[in-house]
Amino acid sequence: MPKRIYKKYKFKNNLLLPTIIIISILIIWQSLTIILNLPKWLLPAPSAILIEIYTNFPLLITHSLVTIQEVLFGFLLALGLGIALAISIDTSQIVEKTIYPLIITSQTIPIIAITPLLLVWVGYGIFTKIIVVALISFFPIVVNMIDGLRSTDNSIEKVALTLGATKLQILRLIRIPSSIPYLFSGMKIGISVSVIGAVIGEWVGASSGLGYLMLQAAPRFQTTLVFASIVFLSIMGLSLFAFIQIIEYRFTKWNRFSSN
Amino acid sequence: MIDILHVKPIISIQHIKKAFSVKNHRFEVIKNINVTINQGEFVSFVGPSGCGKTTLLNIIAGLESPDSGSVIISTKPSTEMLGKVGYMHQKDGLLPWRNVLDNAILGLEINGFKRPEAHALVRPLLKQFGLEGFEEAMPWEISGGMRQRVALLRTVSYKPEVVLLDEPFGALDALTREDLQFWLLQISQELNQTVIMITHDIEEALILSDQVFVLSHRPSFIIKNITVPFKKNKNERNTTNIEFANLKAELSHAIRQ
Repeated sequence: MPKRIYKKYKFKNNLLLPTIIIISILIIWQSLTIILNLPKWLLPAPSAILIEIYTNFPLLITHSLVTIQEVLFGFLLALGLGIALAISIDTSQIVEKTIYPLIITSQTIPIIAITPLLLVWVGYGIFTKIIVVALISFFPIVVNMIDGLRSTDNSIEKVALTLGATKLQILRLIRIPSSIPYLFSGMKIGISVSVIGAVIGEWVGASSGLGYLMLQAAPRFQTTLVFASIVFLSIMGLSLFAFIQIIEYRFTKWNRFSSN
Repeated sequence: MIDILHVKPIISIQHIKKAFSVKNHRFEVIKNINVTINQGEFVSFVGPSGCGKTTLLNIIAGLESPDSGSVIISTKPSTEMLGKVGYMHQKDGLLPWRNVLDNAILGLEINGFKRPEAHALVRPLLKQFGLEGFEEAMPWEISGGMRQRVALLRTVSYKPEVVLLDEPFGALDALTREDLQFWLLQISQELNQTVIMITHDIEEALILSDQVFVLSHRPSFIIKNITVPFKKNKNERNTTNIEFANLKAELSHAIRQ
């Protein structure tokens, strides 16, 4: 049995440098607010933001839970829809010629312009936000998955064909597995923009969520709370991104080691 | 040698012709090929590169149709035989996300076997193919020679009526190629399967085949047809055997004409 070569995810190699950079920025930021004596409503110091997070922790968590629900449901909807669309576009020329241009065109319309309409049609509830998140995150998933399906190695497909594979078998056994690394790339872009989608949805009309909290805090000059919300949003985005990367790492080991 | 009384034709290639059009220019690739191959025979087509060997094999496999003439396998035209003809290419075409065992069962799986059944059918063959102990290995973890053996196992495991080999060892280094040629010589006798191989390597064809057809430059036709007169073992089928070397020289001369 040959020895498996696993790349270990090492903190030293991958996280040390970014950590140093972030800490340096925080130190410079902290010093500037002290030296320039900036008022809290203009630019709060990192320490003030930390204190804000500590004191308002339950509030921030409550609103985070709302936002994360919107992100997760919206993203899952986008994932299901994206995979289904990509496969139909790849299999059917008619679908490709009719739906694909529509999908691309839809991306030229700013999502913030559609959101008020969704509000009118769907209402102020969670569904509007789920739809906004799905609309914004399904595009990278579809496009990447289609590229993945089309990247299938010709020689592998020819082998399957001579083994007597039907179109469905080629799709199931060859094309879909080939596209998985691309799908994960699409998912990583998709999850990052999902958080943006949820915030946009909340800005246009909501009664809870981190976007709503920011919108309430900003005109009252509670800038520290705005920053605290931003911290929570980025922690959310980063965690979701990391989660997808962990799954990707497990499922696409073959792609990192194979030369073709 | 094949027992004359038990000879049963399995493939009949009848006057096939094939041309391609590239930018309004017609290229005749196959002029006229007419061959009958018997059950259990190992037959090679040798020819210069670009002579239409792969086109010929694609036609036999049923991937392409000839412009005229036909290929009959058993009783059916080859275009209806996709999946009944095993085809192994120069590129192994292993699925990088499947381990050795799961790659080997692909043919069985496509032909309707459930995974556990397919595993049970393939496991006993692993030793013969030098893959025992490597069931769980991934394609990137094994050598090129081993990958080709997995590809061959995948091709023969579902018992196709005919196995087609397209320069099966062309991508390998000379030492590995020689090892695999003699391994295939032995295993092809054990499997007793009808095999058609195309290659530009005359020595390879003489090591492995019962019959060798020499193809001309494009448009190709058969310029020479010989029955290899040597016993199927490493001693007789070797360039140190003077008769073998002479035959090789004779075929080499025929190709260059």
